[in-house]
Amino acid sequence: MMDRMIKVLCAVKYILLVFLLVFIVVLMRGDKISDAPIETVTEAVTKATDMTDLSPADNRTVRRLYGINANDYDAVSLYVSDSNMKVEEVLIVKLKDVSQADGVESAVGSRVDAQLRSFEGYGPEQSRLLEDHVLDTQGNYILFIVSGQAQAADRAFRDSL
Amino acid sequence: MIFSSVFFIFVFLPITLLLYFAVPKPGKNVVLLICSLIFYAWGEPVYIVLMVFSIIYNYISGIEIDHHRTQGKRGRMRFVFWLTVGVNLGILMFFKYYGFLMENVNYILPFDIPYRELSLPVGISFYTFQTLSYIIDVYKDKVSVQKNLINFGTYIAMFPQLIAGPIVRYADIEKQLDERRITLSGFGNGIAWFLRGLGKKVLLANNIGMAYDAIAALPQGEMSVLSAWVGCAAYAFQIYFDFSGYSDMAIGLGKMFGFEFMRNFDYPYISKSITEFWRRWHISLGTWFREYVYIPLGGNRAGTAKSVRNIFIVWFLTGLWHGAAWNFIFWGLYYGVLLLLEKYVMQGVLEKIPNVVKHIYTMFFVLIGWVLFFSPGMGEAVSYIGTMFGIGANGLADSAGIYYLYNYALLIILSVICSVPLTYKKFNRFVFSGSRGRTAIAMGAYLAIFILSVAYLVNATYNPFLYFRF
Repeated sequence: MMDRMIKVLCAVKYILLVFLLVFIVVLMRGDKISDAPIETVTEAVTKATDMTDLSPADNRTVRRLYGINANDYDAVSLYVSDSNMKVEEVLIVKLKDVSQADGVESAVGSRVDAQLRSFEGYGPEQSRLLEDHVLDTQGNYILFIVSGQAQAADRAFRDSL
Repeated sequence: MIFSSVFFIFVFLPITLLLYFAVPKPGKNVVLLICSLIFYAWGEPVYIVLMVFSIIYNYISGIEIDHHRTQGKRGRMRFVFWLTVGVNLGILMFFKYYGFLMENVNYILPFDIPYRELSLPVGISFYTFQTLSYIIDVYKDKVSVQKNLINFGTYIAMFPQLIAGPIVRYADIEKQLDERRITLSGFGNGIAWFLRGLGKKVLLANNIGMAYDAIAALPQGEMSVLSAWVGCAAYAFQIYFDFSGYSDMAIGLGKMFGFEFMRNFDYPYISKSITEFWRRWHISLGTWFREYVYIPLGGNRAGTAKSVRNIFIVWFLTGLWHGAAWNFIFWGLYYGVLLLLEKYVMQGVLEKIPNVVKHIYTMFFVLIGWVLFFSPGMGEAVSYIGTMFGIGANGLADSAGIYYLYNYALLIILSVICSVPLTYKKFNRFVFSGSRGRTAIAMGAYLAIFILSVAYLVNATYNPFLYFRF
């Protein structure tokens, strides 16, 4: 009786192992890691959007606006608007490890919430742009963009990876 | 989901406690298991599959190993044991080290092999070590096999210690899975542990961490010697309060549910040697490596050469456990070398020098160790250490360094006070040797920690957990 039960349990174990292998294969297909340098990705994104009022920002601005430390990532590229009355922004993060994605996504979420609160009530155009933002995670790359051409920029982002 | 979040404190924990205390005794582990799986799935909806696999696979393996032993089939038992160890380590290696391995292979080869790195399942290093402790102890017949899947699942997935420890050995918790006493004073004690941990994490670690982040973000060549030391000290406090705070919260939550977990930190920064530091820092990890690697390899009983080899193996693995990067491996080996020096060369010297010098010596090497730990790579670590000693630094002290030291002076002093046992001892003596009024003051202090922490949590966006990436 016990021998039979052990055989059944043993069979369950091997089925589980096969299931684990299938699970890993499915995961491997979904999580793309890109070797593209951030400069190439940034160039593709900035070409696809209107960058007239945007200027590159340093690591301190990254920390001030998003609460993240740029040195923790492989590379970070941030463009912010020259005027406080504009909300256009481009953030590209190349992660060291895809497990960092959650942290960046949550930092972007907080940034969007803070901006929405700032423009709530008197900046309908800015609020609309913020609500239509694109936050796209593709493997080890994350794009956050607030722009009238956000969708086009996102397509360029994906193509560049 | 993290403990230091408004959702956990005000929604998840109260609902879980309510359900836990509402159901009769036989249902308590069921509630704990289901809530733990929800807790894990909240942040890792995909990797919950891996967790469930690990529970069922190891549960069956334990039964198989025990069965083959009772049947006298030693060969079969050994096969199942090594296969299970291989599967557990294989999963850990694949999800944690595959990318690192491929990166190094590609570095050596003249061409690049394309690879896809997977995200790290949260807590995989912790729960893999827990399952291994069970399988090894069952194999060695040190513990009885667990035939109740709910109890076994509760041991592996229990949310208080699931994602950042302490690493609870099965032998330490075996009896509590079946029988544990939940008392009002135990519950209250658990709340106090949780609040102390929350305060450490939210009020101290998060705030002092901002100083480290600001200094680490300074461009190369713009950091003075003073800034480098302030940044390194800030990180030392951040990682201590972050990790020990999380451990305290885990221990406190365990107490609320009637469990007793081992203490994970014992004021490591008061240590007077590196050996003592590692007896006080991440105690559950050190205990695990001693029990399951160092002693099985022969420990220090097989002669000096083998003892040295064993120490290096343990510290290489300790470094690697912390992360798939060379700087973690060097960090581990760095401690291996220091511990060997203390054991074989400096023992006589250390005994003779005054305590204050021993303390300075320990903290000096611990701080240098943290540079290896927090740096993104070995190049950056060497450069940062160089800056600490004036090589490539922007002078001895600049306005930025003075600014950070001045602005964070109060927090640094508070961090020092909270890093020594005297503060807590005095607090305990004050509370327990006095009248009811004193107890009310103590409760007021805990309430103040709670209110301040929640206020910070509601407003602050900066709330990372450093040990989640391990």
